[in-house]
Amino acid sequence: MPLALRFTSASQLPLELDGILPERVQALSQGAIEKLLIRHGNRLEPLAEHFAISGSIDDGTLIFESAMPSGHGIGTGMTAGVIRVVGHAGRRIGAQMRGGRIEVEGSAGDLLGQGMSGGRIAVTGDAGDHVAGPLPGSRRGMTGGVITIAGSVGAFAAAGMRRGLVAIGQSAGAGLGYRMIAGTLVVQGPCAPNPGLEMKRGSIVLLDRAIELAPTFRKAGAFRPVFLRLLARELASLNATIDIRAFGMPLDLFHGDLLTLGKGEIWTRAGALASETQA
Amino acid sequence: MTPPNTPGPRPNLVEPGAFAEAFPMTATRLVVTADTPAWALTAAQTMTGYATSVIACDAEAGIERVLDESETPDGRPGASILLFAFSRDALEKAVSNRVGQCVMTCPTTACYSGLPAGEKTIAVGGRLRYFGDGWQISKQLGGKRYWRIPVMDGEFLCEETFGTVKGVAGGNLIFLGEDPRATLAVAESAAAAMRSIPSVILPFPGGIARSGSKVGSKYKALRASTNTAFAPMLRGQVETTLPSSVRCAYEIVIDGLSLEAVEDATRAGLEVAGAMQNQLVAVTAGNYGGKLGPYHIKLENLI
Repeated sequence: MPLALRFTSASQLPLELDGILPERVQALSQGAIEKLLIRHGNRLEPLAEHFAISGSIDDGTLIFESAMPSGHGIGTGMTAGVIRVVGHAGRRIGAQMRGGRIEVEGSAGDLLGQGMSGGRIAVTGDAGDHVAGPLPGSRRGMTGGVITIAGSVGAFAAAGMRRGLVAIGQSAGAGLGYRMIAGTLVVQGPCAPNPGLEMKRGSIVLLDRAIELAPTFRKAGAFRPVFLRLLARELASLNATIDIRAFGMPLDLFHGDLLTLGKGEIWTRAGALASETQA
Repeated sequence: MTPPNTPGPRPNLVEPGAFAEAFPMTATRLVVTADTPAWALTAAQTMTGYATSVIACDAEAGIERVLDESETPDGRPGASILLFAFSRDALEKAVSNRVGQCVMTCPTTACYSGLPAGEKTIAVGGRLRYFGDGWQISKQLGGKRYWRIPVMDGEFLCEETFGTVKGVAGGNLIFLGEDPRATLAVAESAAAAMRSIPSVILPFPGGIARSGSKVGSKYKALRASTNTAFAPMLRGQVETTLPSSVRCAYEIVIDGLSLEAVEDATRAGLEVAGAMQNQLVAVTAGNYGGKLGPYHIKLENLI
């Protein structure tokens, strides 16, 4: 039986829920859980002032039963267990996460999986800016783990990404894969022009039919390497909302960004490059 | 050839007290895939060549079985291969050399570990990646790391590390007969039955060895030499263990990922021998008097 937290407060102020983690509350009694302090606006207040708490954490699952757009930092630093959010959630979901699983049945705010190094985040809705991005002051984004988002994402998704897998089921905003260092990023829908700018290494797979790449990416040809088969299988096993049938045919390979190391790769559907289509 | 119609082995078919003496070896399983079954098999056959015995080969290897598309990591046809060596270092060297020379060179192939990573692994893709001359790409998917090495038909994909286990090598059966052709027919049938057991290989040609060896030689440089006690044409010149009517002996050597697998394969071979006993004088097994290997597989216990 999971531990359920139902949001009862009418407050619109931000609630910082860092530290409300399955591995932490597992060792605590119901009373101790209720007394856990969370930041509400500029004050520290007991968890029970904002949530009705029921159930137990026996199976390692913690559920936020209601939408909390002002609930931030859910699963920050998480290492094990499961957190489920039924509804929208705020910023920094799964920031610095190292293990376990976070399921958001709704949309997530900015900074989803910021500085994440392991574990799995699944969002059924959209996510804001800087998905899998770096912590403040760092150039390295996500260094491990998996993020799947069924909807769209904002700007700078996977910027500085170093390792791991991000799959986006719909569109992506500007700065996709900006300064990407390594890792794998798959986007099903449209993305803003010039994805992968200044990327050093890593793989970006763009499955929309009209892609606009910077001129600092050079085409190698159309290929169907074995790793794309493995990637398709991995996406299928993750239930990512990616149409893996696209992996069944050769994809166009572009190398870049030649302004930097140039060892990154962008894969697109054959003939999807806008400049080629116009030519 | 006599049809296999005898209900059970006659009492003296298995030599009393016969046992195979087996010993531990480090083992791994590889899964090789390719665009077609033919290329997967070509790669598997090439990489398991010259791998009959560690007496003179870097490893003992064989094709465990052919895999269909539903059984491989990338959904292509493939083959699973078992390799055995005396140490993890020796196995790592043998596997990476063989994958590098025989699988990576083979059109359309990829190579994966067929055992869980566990605690003890060997580096394969992690060694071969340098062939990429700096253009190799690491890719981590599903908790495993792969290396993508650019080659002339695209890229060769190889898992970074392969799991190993402590396997059992040197299980064996020796078929003794009067008629060499009939004896070979029994050995062939037995090998076919034994090959169907999971987690074992029969590393010799067609699964059958005719040049069984003994430890040492009159020549100091040789570690092994012909097994004079089982060579029928030396009868009268050396001490022999062959019954007087025997003119031919064929040995099937079994390497497996576990003692149970080797015993199961031995049992399968004995069942064939029992069914074709009219073509045999006896069945026995090779050992070193129990002084070398810790595993003693007593044939009588498996009937």
